[in-house]
Amino acid sequence: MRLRHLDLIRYGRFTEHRLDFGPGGGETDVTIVYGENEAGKSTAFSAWLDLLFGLPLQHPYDFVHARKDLMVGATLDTEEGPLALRRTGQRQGSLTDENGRAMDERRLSLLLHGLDRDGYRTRFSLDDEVLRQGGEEIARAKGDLGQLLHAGSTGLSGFADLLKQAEQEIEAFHKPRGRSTILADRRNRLKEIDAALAEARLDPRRFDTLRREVENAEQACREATALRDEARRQLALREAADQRRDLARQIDEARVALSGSPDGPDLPEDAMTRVSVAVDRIANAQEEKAEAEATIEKADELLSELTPDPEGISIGEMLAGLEDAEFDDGESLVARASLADADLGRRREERDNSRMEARRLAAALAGDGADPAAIVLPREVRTGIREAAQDVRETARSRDHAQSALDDARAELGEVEEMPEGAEALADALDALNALPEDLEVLTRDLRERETEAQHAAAGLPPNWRALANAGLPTTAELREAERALKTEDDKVAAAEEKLRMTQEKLAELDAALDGERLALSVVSDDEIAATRAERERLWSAHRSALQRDTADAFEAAMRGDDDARGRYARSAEGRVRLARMKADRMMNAADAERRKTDLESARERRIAPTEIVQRLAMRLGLDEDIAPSAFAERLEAMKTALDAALSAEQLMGDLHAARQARSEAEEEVIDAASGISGDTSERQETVAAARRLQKALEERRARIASRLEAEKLVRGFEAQKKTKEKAHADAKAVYETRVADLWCADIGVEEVLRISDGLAELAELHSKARDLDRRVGRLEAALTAFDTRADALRDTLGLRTRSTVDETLRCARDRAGKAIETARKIEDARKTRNKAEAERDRQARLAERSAEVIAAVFENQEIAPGDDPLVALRRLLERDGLRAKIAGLDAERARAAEGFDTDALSAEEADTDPVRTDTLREAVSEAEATRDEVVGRRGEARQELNSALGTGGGVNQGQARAVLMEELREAARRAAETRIGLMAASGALRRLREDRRGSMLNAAEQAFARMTGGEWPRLEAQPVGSGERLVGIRSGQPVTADAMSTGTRGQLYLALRVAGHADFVTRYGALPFLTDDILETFDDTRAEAALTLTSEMGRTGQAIMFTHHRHLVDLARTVIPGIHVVELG
Amino acid sequence: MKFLHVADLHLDSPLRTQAARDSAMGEHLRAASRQVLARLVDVAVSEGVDAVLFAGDTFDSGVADVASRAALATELSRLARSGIPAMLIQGNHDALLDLDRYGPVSEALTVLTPDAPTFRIGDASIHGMGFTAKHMAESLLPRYPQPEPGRWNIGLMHTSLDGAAGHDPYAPCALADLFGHGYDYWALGHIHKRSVHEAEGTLVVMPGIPQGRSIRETDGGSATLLEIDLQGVRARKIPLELLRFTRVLVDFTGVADQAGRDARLRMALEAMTGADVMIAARLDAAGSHTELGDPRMLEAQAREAAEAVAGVFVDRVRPRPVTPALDAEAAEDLGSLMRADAATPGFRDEVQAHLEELRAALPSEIRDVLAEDRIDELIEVGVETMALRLATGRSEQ
Repeated sequence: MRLRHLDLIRYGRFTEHRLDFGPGGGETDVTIVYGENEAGKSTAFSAWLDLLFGLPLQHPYDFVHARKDLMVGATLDTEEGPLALRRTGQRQGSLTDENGRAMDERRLSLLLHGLDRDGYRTRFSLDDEVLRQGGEEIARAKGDLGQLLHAGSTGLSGFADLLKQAEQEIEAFHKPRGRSTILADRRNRLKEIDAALAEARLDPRRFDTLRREVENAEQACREATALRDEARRQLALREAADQRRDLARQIDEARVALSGSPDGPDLPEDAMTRVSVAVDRIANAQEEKAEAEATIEKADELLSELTPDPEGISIGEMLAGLEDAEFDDGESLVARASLADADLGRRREERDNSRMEARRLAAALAGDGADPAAIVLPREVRTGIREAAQDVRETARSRDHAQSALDDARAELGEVEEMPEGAEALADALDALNALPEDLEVLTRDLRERETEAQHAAAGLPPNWRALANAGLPTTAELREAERALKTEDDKVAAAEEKLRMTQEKLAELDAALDGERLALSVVSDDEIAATRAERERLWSAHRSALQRDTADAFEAAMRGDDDARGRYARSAEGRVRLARMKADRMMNAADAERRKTDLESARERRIAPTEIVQRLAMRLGLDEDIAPSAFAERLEAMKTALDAALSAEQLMGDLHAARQARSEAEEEVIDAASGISGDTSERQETVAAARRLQKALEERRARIASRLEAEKLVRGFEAQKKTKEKAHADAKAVYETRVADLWCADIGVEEVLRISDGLAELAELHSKARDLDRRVGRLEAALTAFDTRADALRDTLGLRTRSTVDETLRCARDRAGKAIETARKIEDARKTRNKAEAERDRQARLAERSAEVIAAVFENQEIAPGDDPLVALRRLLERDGLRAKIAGLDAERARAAEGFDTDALSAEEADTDPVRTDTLREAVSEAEATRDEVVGRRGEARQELNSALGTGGGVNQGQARAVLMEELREAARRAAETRIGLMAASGALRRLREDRRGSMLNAAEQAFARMTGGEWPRLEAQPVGSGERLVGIRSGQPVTADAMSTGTRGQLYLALRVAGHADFVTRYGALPFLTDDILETFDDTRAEAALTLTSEMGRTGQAIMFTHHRHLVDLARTVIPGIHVVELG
Repeated sequence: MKFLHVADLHLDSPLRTQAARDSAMGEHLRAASRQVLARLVDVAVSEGVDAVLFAGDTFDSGVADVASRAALATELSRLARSGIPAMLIQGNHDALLDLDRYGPVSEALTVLTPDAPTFRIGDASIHGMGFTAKHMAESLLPRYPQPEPGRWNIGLMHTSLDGAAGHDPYAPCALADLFGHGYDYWALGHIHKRSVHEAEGTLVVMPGIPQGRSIRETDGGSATLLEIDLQGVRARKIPLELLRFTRVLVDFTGVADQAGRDARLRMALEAMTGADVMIAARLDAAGSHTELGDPRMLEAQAREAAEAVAGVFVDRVRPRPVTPALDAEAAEDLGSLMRADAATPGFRDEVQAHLEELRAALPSEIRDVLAEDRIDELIEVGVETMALRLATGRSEQ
């Protein structure tokens, strides 16, 4: 099956784009598809696969057309004729004919010999990456023949790694005597779990034991507790008796102390507090009273020293009134008047100076006697006039400049000139002459060299070589094909001869064996038996007739002979069978030999045609008929080289003639053109040099003419500018006159106005300043007048001069008023202090009386000596009351200590005064407690053990873990077994592949490899290694293993294997298009040419399609592959 | 009246699945059979049944761990507190168990024996007797009491029935004989797959194992609620299982890449999720070698996909590559050569020799995984799996 058209109807960036792979049918069916990067080569390849196998659900080429709209078409050439197909984006029935009718996928499946997408892609496509990986695969496989043949057949790689990985997985699970395998580890883990399980399981017997231990421990605990409690009880009784004894002693001591205390009832509870507080209050009251009397004395002294000032008070009131007064602007009158007092003189002086200055300036600007008020102009008016005046000045200057420029431009115009007729023609003729190659000498020298080369190239060739070359040289492909065909037929003849020889040898062996067998076995045949029997019968008949001794002897001899023969016949049955078999073998071999002879004759006959072709080729190359075809390529090369050189020399000769002719004609043209310009034949320019000089002069004139034109343009520009400037100036003047109309400066001119504009500004400022100062002086004088009016009365009271200053007046008033107020305040303070001290003295006296009454109440009915200090008496009474309370407490405590005890037992203990009894009882208690603690601990441990045993859940978790482990191990073992089986099957399959394919594929790979490497590696062999074989290459007679080859060589070996695999597939099943994608990128030209040759060979048995983006490979392919079809992707 | 019928509890028998090594799952399934027993008691209490019937193999062996006994005693005491009695017969696994070693297991429990085969409750008479030895070759039916007139008669029996496929005969008894004995309901035990048979007014139920323990026990997971009244006898399945084993076929036809495989796996796993029950799934992956990809990658993807689906765990993934039918003209591939090589007698012998060594190295309990009668299956799977790996090894790079 081959691909004739591939239609990218809606696919990737293509719409209705057809790739035509030609009709095929030539010697070799190779198409090269050339496209720049991103032209669509990968798209085309993907489209082809999609047509064959359907569009994947996620599609990388649906960026223009949606996936459901994608469509690819193709026309396939099949044995049954052309088949037009389409593949659409539909999920069902995506394969249709060109009319859209659904087609059975099996049609394609049959054509593809059952290959699926991956299978086809890996077997029938090749790119640089696959080539590289193929080379690496060879290294990884360490040259294993089976793996390499498989890689070559299917294009699949990665075997070595996968097989090794599988082996590692198996060994990781288990290997004999392995200790760190998964199985060994799991077995150890199983032991641990089993141990834990045994530990965790709560066996009934163990449960009983633990329970019994807990019961025993509880019993011991109860007993120990009882003993401890008894010991404690004994000790408590003893301690109570001790305590009562001690208390009785204390009571006696207290009673003795009480007998010496004063009589009287118990003091109230708060007696201490009340008496203490009362005593303190009396003491404080006396101190406070003394202090108050001292204060009264001091106040009286101060009052006698101070004198009041009522007039000063009055001055203060007047001053307050003055300070509160306001001026007419709302500000404080005092502040205003004070400021005015300080400022008035200076402001008057400033005002006068400003007036004088303004008058002076007005005179300067407008003449003597000019009134500043009449001269001054408002700011906006001044500004407007100045701007207008400046505009007038500027526009006048611009206008003058424009005029000046115009005058200069006119002066530079120069004279008027024109170009003569014929100047253009002369220029063209000289251009044509200049375009010719300069140096004819160089051409002549090149020609000589080429001629020499051609002669050298032709040396060694026959004299008629040129005629042979002209008649047409054969192509390299032709030579190769002829050589190959002849070699093929030679090989076949040799093989047929070898087979015949072997068959004949076998036949001779069989003959010899047969003879030997016959001789050795003394086989008796059936005929012999019949003969001896017949002889016997004959002699018997004779004897019966004659009944003579001699006839009897003869019969006897015949009978014996017959018997002997029969005996030998019976014994030689096996030998007969063997003999019969050998005869049959011999017959078969003889028939074989005949067949071999026939085959040999046929082979020899078939060799005639290629031999004749070779002879014809030899003739075409000028070689003898009997020269070996291997020499043809060299002769062809030599003839091609010689022919190229000769053709090149001839070409160069022609070029030289042409060049000379062209030069002569051009010079003639130049001379004619120059003469035409001068117009006078007597001045005909006789030389090219003169013509060149004329041309130069004409060029200068042309330049001048161009220059004048530019100058005229400039003059026109300046004239226009001048008009514009004049208009602008007139406009500015009109504006200015409008602004100065009706003003005093209307007639003084623009320049004068500009000159005095600064002075006008200054005058306005001075005038304004003078007015301002006038106003301010007026305000200051008003403030002073108002102040004087209000302050007259005050000044009189103070006795000041009328014309005292504001500050002076205020200062005197403040001093006087301040002093008077201070004196009045001091008198008032002293009176208040005295009154306060008197009240305090009286209060403290009353407090002391009340405290004495309290003390008397507390001590009522008590035995106290008169004159006793109250605190001392109090202390004595309190001590008495304390002793009484202590005795009562001790009695109560003694009674409590007897509670809960047997009265008699307690009494007995109280009577027992043994000093060590209590300690002895304490020791007994400690011992009992310690014993109990120990027993309680043991009980806790027993309970803990039982609870732990119950709490583990009885091993259920360990059991589960064990079950999981076993399940994992089961699964891992199954997997390891399956992997081992798979590995065995894979090794067996590779072995089969090796045995099945080695002959044909190895030969084909050897030839392809030799061609790829230019004969550097002429042979490939399979060397036995262990139970397998490995592939080695032979270079310079030395074997090199495939994995020891260089990277590039391994790539070529891989390519050779792929070519062999392809040939093997085609032979077995049939041809399918083989696609390569820029596999020659890393190849140099020689290797690329060899690879192209191989591709051409593949194209003889099936279609080969090459994709490339290298233009030079297209050119090379055209050279190497005759009839190659080229498709350019736009 | 209502009764809850359960059999083959196999208390404390572990779950045999690799999925249990997942810590979340392991925690959830801790003492799974005890949790199922607790669920059983919950159902009995919530349904207000009149009694619970244990039809044999309550324990997994004749020597029960004390903790296992304690677990049963704890749950039975819950029944007792709710006033629900329980009847029990012993099966082939727990035939020799001394239930009364520590005194009565529970005041609520009555063990039916040949000496005391009948327990009466309300209008129902429960008849039963259990195994007295590990193997009982003859039917126990002849020793069962005749049905008591005017009462509902329920038979409790541990039996392999007519000898179901894959089971040795244990107290075999024909269904027809059970139908003909005259009881209203037969509460059977022994076969772990649930089945219901009805004829002549009698209902015979094998409730199945309430919690499957491995992929070989996929058809249980429940107890049976029996309702008997004037309208007849009705049996209803009551789900109890914590974990269900499921075998699922996942079809990868049309898948072109890992994303496609992932989507199919997730779809298949999500379709399995069930309320209140975890799933341990064994996946059979069908497709061409391109569609399946590398089998180890496929298994890893399946486990990862399961992590995203709550309650579903992957026990195992088995690829089942679909080899396209090749005709005589089809190009042969390495797979074909491998199959051809594996079909030779010498190959089988070599496999046997290798497996013998490996088998001997395994613990005895799991040697059956490489038994001789499984060699053909191992060869088939081994060859296909390796062919799949070799076919996808290149295309996956």
